Amino acid sequence: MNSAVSHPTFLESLKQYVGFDDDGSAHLRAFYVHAAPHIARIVDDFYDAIEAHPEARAAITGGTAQIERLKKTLIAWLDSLLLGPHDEAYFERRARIGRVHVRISLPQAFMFTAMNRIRVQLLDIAERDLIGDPPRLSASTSALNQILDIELAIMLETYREDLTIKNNTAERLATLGQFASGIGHELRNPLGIMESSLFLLRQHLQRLGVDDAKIGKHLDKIGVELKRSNKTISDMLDLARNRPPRRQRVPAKSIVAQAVAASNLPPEIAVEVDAPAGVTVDADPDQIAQLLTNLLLNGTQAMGGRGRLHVGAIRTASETMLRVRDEGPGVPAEVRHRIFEALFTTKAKGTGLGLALCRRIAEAHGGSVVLEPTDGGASFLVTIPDAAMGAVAGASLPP
Amino acid sequence: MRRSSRNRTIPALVCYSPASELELGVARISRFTILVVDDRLEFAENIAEILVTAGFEAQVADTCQSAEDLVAAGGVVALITDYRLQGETGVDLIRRLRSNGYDLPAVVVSAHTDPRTIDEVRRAGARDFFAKPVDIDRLLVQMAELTRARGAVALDEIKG
Repeated sequence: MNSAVSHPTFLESLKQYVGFDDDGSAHLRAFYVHAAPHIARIVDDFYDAIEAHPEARAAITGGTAQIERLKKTLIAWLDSLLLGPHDEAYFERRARIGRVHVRISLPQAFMFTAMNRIRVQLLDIAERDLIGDPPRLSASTSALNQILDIELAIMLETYREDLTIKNNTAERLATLGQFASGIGHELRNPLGIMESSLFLLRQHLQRLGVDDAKIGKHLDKIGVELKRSNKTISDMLDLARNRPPRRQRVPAKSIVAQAVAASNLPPEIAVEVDAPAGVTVDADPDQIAQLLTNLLLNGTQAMGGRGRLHVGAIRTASETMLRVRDEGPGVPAEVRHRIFEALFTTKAKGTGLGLALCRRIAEAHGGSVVLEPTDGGASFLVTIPDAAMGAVAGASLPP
Repeated sequence: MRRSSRNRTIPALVCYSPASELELGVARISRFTILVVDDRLEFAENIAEILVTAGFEAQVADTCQSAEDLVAAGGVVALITDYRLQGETGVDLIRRLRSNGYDLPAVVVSAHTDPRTIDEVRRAGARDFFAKPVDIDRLLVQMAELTRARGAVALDEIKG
């Protein structure tokens, strides 16, 4: 938790830099009575502009209901912008809102222009209402500009924070990839010797006329475990290599079944699958199964190896959403924004690989994996757009 | 920790491989030997033993230089080589043998299965590429094909 946004002096340094102080706070509070009657209108105008713009609109996937929720959030945002108190708690709340914008991939350009719309309207109100009181008008407009500059700086900082995480993840995965690749290749050599020795051992026994069930059983076990070790190494090398997905349209149900089988969950874990027959996903089945396997294993560990996992699959017009939910304690708020970072783990035995790989697989498909807010447990939502859609969306969003 | 280079045939193993045991339909021509090159001699020896059991003859080498010496000594008709060989590669070996006039059919075996390595191996003219651990049945079939072709040519030469 060393990120700049949560650093306690960041707000102070911003305030000092733009010259915002308690006087500024007081002026904003006094200005609130002038702004209050207009806030609903400002908010409506704000979302009309977003709805009119296809690219900005794309960041809002939840339709009218989501817009209504967002409007309430923006009203509260404007209220506290003016009423304060502009303290560290305020600052943390603002950073959280910024992270939501990052999470829904709202392009920075729209965040900028949206902030400017609000600024223009608030300054208009100040000019109209305070025209007869020039010193107060001047102090109010100055405080408005200062606080909005601070807001903008906080927003930008959250974008930067996200970029840092992505860079760290890429860098760590690259290091890890080299490491995994070195070990993987080194392990294939002894496996090659063991496998060929096993082959010879079987031949020699056959030649000697030995047909013993006990010996055969153990030779088979060695053979099976050699294959399994080899599979693990190959998977690890595949991921380290970041193989591009080989997409095909397959029933979500079968990928879920593949993942459940591969997870090899303990019998105390019940998996409830809700994947209707018609729901398909346009993706690399092995990679998506691997992603789901990681989420199933995470959920299992979160519940201490005992409890219920829920897996769901639904289709929209152009994407498939897969959800894996557990009934464990959930993810603590303070680590929520870091769990997808490579080598970040809160588990004693964790590698910090699972969720980073999930994210990488989802993003390789032009999709995403997010931790959803819930009342209890952890719920991960994987969104996989169809191939053509993914390509278009990928091209129009900033890297 | 560099191993001293060793060249060895495995005559003892050749002995218990009567022609009647051959299941691959390989014309057994005792003078024709497959050379297995791997800096892990344990691996090379295992593959050689498997080849011998299947009716081929085999020799092993653990460096490019010892492999070249064995080929120069005569009798080698096909090559199975590891990709990484103590600072050199199986591709280096194939190229060097060819530039010395030995155009042996070769397959490359490797723990490294990245597309770049596989592509390099194919471009060097290797007949096949095997990931370690090796699919032994496929390797035997491939060696049967390579030596059958080579054996036919050799028989023609003998018949004159």
